[in-house]
Amino acid sequence: MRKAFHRRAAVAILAASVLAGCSQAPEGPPKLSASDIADTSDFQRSIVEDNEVTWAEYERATIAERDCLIAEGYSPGELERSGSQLGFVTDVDYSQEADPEAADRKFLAIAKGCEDEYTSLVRVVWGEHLVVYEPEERQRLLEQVVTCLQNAGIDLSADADLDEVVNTIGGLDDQGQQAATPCIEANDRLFHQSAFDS
Amino acid sequence: MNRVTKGILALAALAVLTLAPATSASADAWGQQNATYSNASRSNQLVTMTHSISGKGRTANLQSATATTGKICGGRVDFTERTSTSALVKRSTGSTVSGCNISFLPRERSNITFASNTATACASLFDTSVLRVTQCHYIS
Repeated sequence: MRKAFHRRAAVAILAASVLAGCSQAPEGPPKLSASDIADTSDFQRSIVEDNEVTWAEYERATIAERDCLIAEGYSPGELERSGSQLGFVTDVDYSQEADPEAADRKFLAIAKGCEDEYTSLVRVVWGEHLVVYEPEERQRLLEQVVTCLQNAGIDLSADADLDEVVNTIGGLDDQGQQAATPCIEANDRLFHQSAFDS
Repeated sequence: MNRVTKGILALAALAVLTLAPATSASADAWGQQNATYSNASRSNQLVTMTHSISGKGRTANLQSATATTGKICGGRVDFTERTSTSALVKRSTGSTVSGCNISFLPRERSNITFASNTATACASLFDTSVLRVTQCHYIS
Protein backbone atom coordinates (compact mmCIF):
# COMPACT_ATOMS: atom_id res chain seq x y z
CA MET A 1 0.00 0.00 0.00
CA ARG A 2 2.72 2.40 0.99
CA LYS A 3 4.71 1.68 -2.20
CA ALA A 4 1.60 2.34 -4.22
CA PHE A 5 1.19 5.67 -2.47
CA HIS A 6 4.78 6.60 -3.27
CA ARG A 7 4.37 5.70 -6.90
CA ARG A 8 1.22 7.79 -7.12
CA ALA A 9 2.92 10.68 -5.40
CA ALA A 10 5.65 10.49 -7.97
CA VAL A 11 3.14 10.68 -10.78
CA ALA A 12 1.54 13.73 -9.22
CA ILE A 13 4.89 15.47 -8.86
CA LEU A 14 5.68 14.59 -12.42
CA ALA A 15 2.43 15.89 -13.74
CA ALA A 16 2.66 19.09 -11.75
CA SER A 17 6.24 19.99 -12.38
CA VAL A 18 8.23 17.99 -14.83
CA LEU A 19 6.52 17.93 -18.20
CA ALA A 20 8.25 21.01 -19.55
CA GLY A 21 8.89 19.20 -22.79
CA CYS A 22 5.24 18.44 -23.35
CA SER A 23 3.90 21.97 -23.71
CA GLN A 24 1.23 22.32 -26.33
CA ALA A 25 -0.28 25.12 -28.31
CA PRO A 26 -2.64 27.18 -26.18
CA GLU A 27 -5.85 25.84 -27.72
CA GLY A 28 -6.85 24.29 -24.42
CA PRO A 29 -5.47 22.55 -21.39
CA PRO A 30 -2.56 20.16 -22.04
CA LYS A 31 -3.37 16.53 -21.53
CA LEU A 32 -2.01 13.92 -19.17
CA SER A 33 -0.03 11.13 -20.76
CA ALA A 34 -1.44 7.62 -20.95
CA SER A 35 1.17 6.46 -18.42
CA ASP A 36 0.21 9.22 -15.97
CA ILE A 37 -3.38 8.02 -16.12
CA ALA A 38 -2.44 4.34 -15.98
CA ASP A 39 -0.23 4.80 -12.92
CA THR A 40 -2.71 6.67 -10.73
CA SER A 41 -5.20 5.12 -8.30
CA ASP A 42 -8.39 3.52 -9.58
CA PHE A 43 -10.39 6.31 -7.94
CA GLN A 44 -8.49 9.10 -9.67
CA ARG A 45 -8.24 7.24 -12.98
CA SER A 46 -12.03 7.06 -13.17
CA ILE A 47 -12.09 10.86 -12.95
CA VAL A 48 -9.11 11.98 -15.03
CA GLU A 49 -9.10 9.41 -17.83
CA ASP A 50 -11.05 11.81 -20.06
CA ASN A 51 -8.55 14.59 -19.17
CA GLU A 52 -11.37 16.66 -17.76
CA VAL A 53 -12.48 17.33 -14.19
CA THR A 54 -15.81 18.93 -13.39
CA TRP A 55 -16.52 20.85 -10.20
CA ALA A 56 -18.65 17.91 -8.98
CA GLU A 57 -15.73 15.50 -9.56
CA TYR A 58 -13.28 17.88 -7.88
CA GLU A 59 -15.63 18.14 -4.91
CA ARG A 60 -16.11 14.34 -4.76
CA ALA A 61 -12.33 13.79 -4.77
CA THR A 62 -11.78 16.40 -2.04
CA ILE A 63 -14.48 14.83 0.11
CA ALA A 64 -12.89 11.40 -0.39
CA GLU A 65 -9.48 12.75 0.67
CA ARG A 66 -11.05 14.26 3.78
CA ASP A 67 -12.89 11.00 4.55
CA CYS A 68 -9.57 9.15 4.20
CA LEU A 69 -8.07 11.30 6.97
CA ILE A 70 -11.11 10.71 9.16
CA ALA A 71 -10.76 6.95 8.62
CA GLU A 72 -7.16 7.25 9.80
CA GLY A 73 -8.31 8.85 13.05
CA TYR A 74 -7.73 12.55 12.29
CA SER A 75 -10.29 15.36 12.46
CA PRO A 76 -10.19 17.56 9.36
CA GLY A 77 -12.39 20.65 9.33
CA GLU A 78 -15.32 21.31 7.04
CA LEU A 79 -14.81 21.84 3.32
CA GLU A 80 -13.88 25.43 2.51
CA ARG A 81 -14.27 27.11 -0.86
CA SER A 82 -11.99 29.96 -1.88
CA GLY A 83 -12.49 31.25 -5.41
CA SER A 84 -12.00 28.26 -7.69
CA GLN A 85 -10.39 26.20 -4.92
CA LEU A 86 -11.87 23.67 -2.54
CA GLY A 87 -10.06 22.27 0.47
CA PHE A 88 -10.01 21.84 4.21
CA VAL A 89 -7.82 22.47 7.21
CA THR A 90 -6.58 19.68 9.46
CA ASP A 91 -5.43 20.49 12.99
CA VAL A 92 -3.33 17.93 14.84
CA ASP A 93 -2.42 18.25 18.52
CA TYR A 94 0.82 16.53 19.56
CA SER A 95 0.92 17.81 23.13
CA GLN A 96 0.15 14.37 24.57
CA GLU A 97 2.50 12.48 22.25
CA ALA A 98 5.65 10.89 23.69
CA ASP A 99 7.40 11.50 20.36
CA PRO A 100 5.71 14.45 18.61
CA GLU A 101 8.12 14.46 15.66
CA ALA A 102 7.40 10.80 14.94
CA ALA A 103 3.67 11.44 15.26
CA ASP A 104 3.99 14.38 12.85
CA ARG A 105 5.93 12.33 10.32
CA LYS A 106 3.22 9.70 10.50
CA PHE A 107 0.48 12.28 10.01
CA LEU A 108 2.21 13.92 7.03
CA ALA A 109 2.79 10.52 5.41
CA ILE A 110 -0.84 9.53 5.89
CA ALA A 111 -2.06 12.90 4.60
CA LYS A 112 0.13 12.54 1.53
CA GLY A 113 -1.16 9.00 1.04
CA CYS A 114 -4.76 10.21 1.13
CA GLU A 115 -3.90 12.97 -1.33
CA ASP A 116 -2.14 10.56 -3.68
CA GLU A 117 -5.06 8.16 -3.53
CA TYR A 118 -7.83 10.69 -4.14
CA THR A 119 -6.82 14.18 -5.26
CA SER A 120 -3.25 14.66 -6.49
CA LEU A 121 -3.89 14.13 -10.20
CA VAL A 122 -7.45 15.44 -10.00
CA ARG A 123 -6.01 18.73 -8.73
CA VAL A 124 -3.52 18.87 -11.60
CA VAL A 125 -6.27 18.50 -14.20
CA TRP A 126 -8.62 20.89 -12.36
CA GLY A 127 -5.75 23.39 -12.18
CA GLU A 128 -5.21 23.14 -15.93
CA HIS A 129 -8.89 23.83 -16.47
CA LEU A 130 -8.46 27.10 -14.56
CA VAL A 131 -5.71 28.49 -16.80
CA VAL A 132 -7.03 31.27 -19.02
CA TYR A 133 -5.50 31.21 -22.50
CA GLU A 134 -7.73 33.64 -24.40
CA PRO A 135 -6.05 37.11 -24.52
CA GLU A 136 -9.38 38.94 -24.34
CA GLU A 137 -10.42 37.06 -21.23
CA ARG A 138 -7.00 37.58 -19.61
CA GLN A 139 -7.29 41.31 -20.31
CA ARG A 140 -10.79 41.40 -18.84
CA LEU A 141 -9.62 39.67 -15.66
CA LEU A 142 -6.59 41.94 -15.44
CA GLU A 143 -8.72 45.08 -15.68
CA GLN A 144 -11.10 43.63 -13.11
CA VAL A 145 -8.34 42.86 -10.59
CA VAL A 146 -6.65 46.25 -11.10
CA THR A 147 -9.93 48.08 -10.47
CA CYS A 148 -10.60 45.93 -7.41
CA LEU A 149 -7.11 46.60 -5.99
CA GLN A 150 -7.45 50.33 -6.64
CA ASN A 151 -10.81 50.33 -4.85
CA ALA A 152 -9.11 48.52 -1.94
CA GLY A 153 -6.75 51.49 -1.64
CA ILE A 154 -3.74 49.91 -3.28
CA ASP A 155 -1.61 52.24 -5.38
CA LEU A 156 -1.64 50.82 -8.90
CA SER A 157 -1.95 52.48 -12.30
CA ALA A 158 -5.04 51.68 -14.36
CA ASP A 159 -2.93 50.28 -17.21
CA ALA A 160 -0.78 48.03 -14.99
CA ASP A 161 0.18 44.71 -16.55
CA LEU A 162 0.21 41.38 -14.74
CA ASP A 163 3.87 41.67 -13.72
CA GLU A 164 3.18 45.06 -12.12
CA VAL A 165 0.19 43.63 -10.28
CA VAL A 166 2.21 40.69 -8.98
CA ASN A 167 5.15 42.89 -7.96
CA THR A 168 2.85 45.37 -6.24
CA ILE A 169 1.10 42.61 -4.28
CA GLY A 170 4.45 41.11 -3.31
CA GLY A 171 5.60 44.45 -1.91
CA LEU A 172 2.53 45.07 0.23
CA ASP A 173 2.66 44.94 4.00
CA ASP A 174 0.38 42.57 5.88
CA GLN A 175 -2.55 44.98 5.96
CA GLY A 176 -2.22 45.64 2.25
CA GLN A 177 -2.06 41.94 1.45
CA GLN A 178 -5.19 41.33 3.47
CA ALA A 179 -6.91 44.10 1.54
CA ALA A 180 -5.74 42.56 -1.75
CA THR A 181 -6.81 39.00 -0.93
CA PRO A 182 -10.50 39.33 -1.95
CA CYS A 183 -9.43 40.82 -5.30
CA ILE A 184 -7.07 37.91 -5.94
CA GLU A 185 -9.62 35.30 -4.90
CA ALA A 186 -12.35 36.81 -7.06
CA ASN A 187 -10.09 36.78 -10.11
CA ASP A 188 -7.84 33.87 -9.23
CA ARG A 189 -7.89 32.31 -12.70
CA LEU A 190 -5.73 35.19 -13.93
CA PHE A 191 -2.94 33.94 -11.68
CA HIS A 192 -3.07 30.30 -12.74
CA GLN A 193 -0.37 28.91 -14.98
CA SER A 194 -0.10 25.58 -16.68
CA ALA A 195 1.85 22.90 -14.84
CA PHE A 196 3.08 21.77 -18.23
CA ASP A 197 4.89 25.02 -19.06
CA SER A 198 8.48 25.51 -17.97
CA MET B 1 15.48 6.04 -15.35
CA ASN B 2 11.89 7.03 -16.06
CA ARG B 3 10.78 10.64 -16.01
CA VAL B 4 8.95 10.17 -12.73
CA THR B 5 12.15 9.23 -10.93
CA LYS B 6 14.05 12.01 -12.65
CA GLY B 7 11.49 14.51 -11.43
CA ILE B 8 11.73 13.35 -7.85
CA LEU B 9 15.51 13.42 -7.89
CA ALA B 10 15.51 16.91 -9.35
CA LEU B 11 13.16 18.13 -6.67
CA ALA B 12 15.19 16.53 -3.92
CA ALA B 13 18.53 17.71 -5.21
CA LEU B 14 17.59 21.30 -5.86
CA ALA B 15 15.39 22.12 -2.93
CA VAL B 16 16.66 24.86 -0.64
CA LEU B 17 14.95 25.30 2.70
CA THR B 18 15.21 28.51 4.63
CA LEU B 19 14.18 28.96 8.24
CA ALA B 20 13.72 32.46 9.53
CA PRO B 21 14.79 33.52 13.02
CA ALA B 22 11.73 34.04 15.18
CA THR B 23 10.55 37.52 16.05
CA SER B 24 8.54 38.41 19.13
CA ALA B 25 4.75 38.18 19.06
CA SER B 26 3.95 39.22 22.62
CA ALA B 27 1.65 41.83 21.09
CA ASP B 28 1.58 42.21 17.31
CA ALA B 29 4.27 40.78 15.11
CA TRP B 30 4.95 40.89 11.41
CA GLY B 31 7.81 39.26 9.59
CA GLN B 32 8.96 38.43 6.11
CA GLN B 33 11.36 35.75 4.99
CA ASN B 34 12.83 35.29 1.53
CA ALA B 35 14.13 32.06 0.11
CA THR B 36 15.34 30.96 -3.26
CA TYR B 37 14.70 27.47 -4.47
CA SER B 38 14.65 25.44 -7.61
CA ASN B 39 12.35 22.68 -8.64
CA ALA B 40 12.12 20.56 -11.72
CA SER B 41 10.24 23.15 -13.72
CA ARG B 42 12.04 26.35 -12.70
CA SER B 43 15.34 27.37 -11.18
CA ASN B 44 16.16 30.13 -8.70
CA GLN B 45 12.63 31.04 -7.82
CA LEU B 46 12.29 33.75 -5.20
CA VAL B 47 9.61 33.09 -2.63
CA THR B 48 8.65 35.58 0.07
CA MET B 49 6.74 34.38 3.12
CA THR B 50 4.93 37.10 5.05
CA HIS B 51 3.63 35.96 8.42
CA SER B 52 1.85 38.05 11.01
CA ILE B 53 0.18 37.52 14.35
CA SER B 54 -2.02 40.19 15.90
CA GLY B 55 -3.17 39.98 19.48
CA LYS B 56 -1.81 40.06 22.98
CA GLY B 57 0.08 37.50 25.01
CA ARG B 58 -1.17 34.01 24.22
CA THR B 59 -4.35 35.16 22.54
CA ALA B 60 -4.27 36.13 18.92
CA ASN B 61 -7.09 37.74 16.98
CA LEU B 62 -5.53 36.76 13.71
CA GLN B 63 -2.63 34.75 12.33
CA SER B 64 -2.05 35.18 8.61
CA ALA B 65 0.49 34.07 6.08
CA THR B 66 0.98 34.88 2.43
CA ALA B 67 3.60 33.53 0.10
CA THR B 68 4.52 35.37 -3.09
CA THR B 69 6.48 33.50 -5.68
CA GLY B 70 7.10 33.20 -9.39
CA LYS B 71 5.22 29.97 -9.84
CA ILE B 72 4.17 27.35 -7.36
CA CYS B 73 2.37 24.08 -8.00
CA GLY B 74 0.27 22.36 -5.37
CA GLY B 75 1.07 25.08 -2.82
CA ARG B 76 0.07 24.75 0.82
CA VAL B 77 0.61 26.84 3.97
CA ASP B 78 0.86 25.10 7.36
CA PHE B 79 0.87 26.72 10.80
CA THR B 80 2.90 25.00 13.52
CA GLU B 81 3.60 25.65 17.19
CA ARG B 82 6.70 24.51 19.11
CA THR B 83 7.95 24.60 22.69
CA SER B 84 11.11 26.35 23.83
CA THR B 85 12.96 23.07 23.23
CA SER B 86 11.56 22.93 19.68
CA ALA B 87 9.19 20.08 20.46
CA LEU B 88 6.23 20.17 18.11
CA VAL B 89 2.95 21.00 19.87
CA LYS B 90 0.51 21.46 16.99
CA ARG B 91 0.31 21.40 13.23
CA SER B 92 -2.51 22.92 11.20
CA THR B 93 -2.32 21.97 7.53
CA GLY B 94 -3.95 24.31 5.04
CA SER B 95 -5.73 23.46 1.81
CA THR B 96 -3.60 22.41 -1.14
CA VAL B 97 -4.02 24.67 -4.15
CA SER B 98 -5.00 22.93 -7.37
CA GLY B 99 -2.57 23.36 -10.22
CA CYS B 100 0.05 26.11 -10.43
CA ASN B 101 -0.26 29.79 -9.74
CA ILE B 102 1.72 32.96 -9.43
CA SER B 103 1.30 35.80 -6.99
CA PHE B 104 0.30 34.78 -3.53
CA LEU B 105 -1.09 32.00 -1.50
CA PRO B 106 -2.93 33.45 1.49
CA ARG B 107 -4.04 31.67 4.61
CA GLU B 108 -5.38 33.06 7.86
CA ARG B 109 -7.06 31.87 11.03
CA SER B 110 -8.64 33.82 13.85
CA ASN B 111 -9.29 33.61 17.60
CA ILE B 112 -6.29 31.49 18.54
CA THR B 113 -5.18 30.68 22.06
CA PHE B 114 -1.64 29.39 22.12
CA ALA B 115 -0.89 26.60 24.61
CA SER B 116 1.03 27.55 27.76
CA ASN B 117 4.12 25.72 26.51
CA THR B 118 4.06 27.20 22.99
CA ALA B 119 7.20 29.27 22.48
CA THR B 120 7.15 29.82 18.72
CA ALA B 121 4.41 30.00 16.10
CA CYS B 122 5.46 29.43 12.51
CA ALA B 123 4.07 29.48 8.99
CA SER B 124 5.55 27.16 6.38
CA LEU B 125 5.12 26.99 2.64
CA PHE B 126 4.99 23.64 0.88
CA ASP B 127 5.37 23.17 -2.87
CA THR B 128 3.97 19.78 -3.97
CA SER B 129 4.50 18.54 -0.39
CA VAL B 130 8.13 19.80 -0.26
CA LEU B 131 8.87 22.36 2.49
CA ARG B 132 10.30 25.56 0.97
CA VAL B 133 10.31 28.32 3.57
CA THR B 134 9.31 28.85 7.21
CA GLN B 135 8.82 32.08 9.15
CA CYS B 136 8.38 32.10 12.94
CA HIS B 137 7.46 34.44 15.79
CA TYR B 138 8.18 34.00 19.50
CA ILE B 139 5.11 33.72 21.71
CA SER B 140 5.43 34.99 25.26
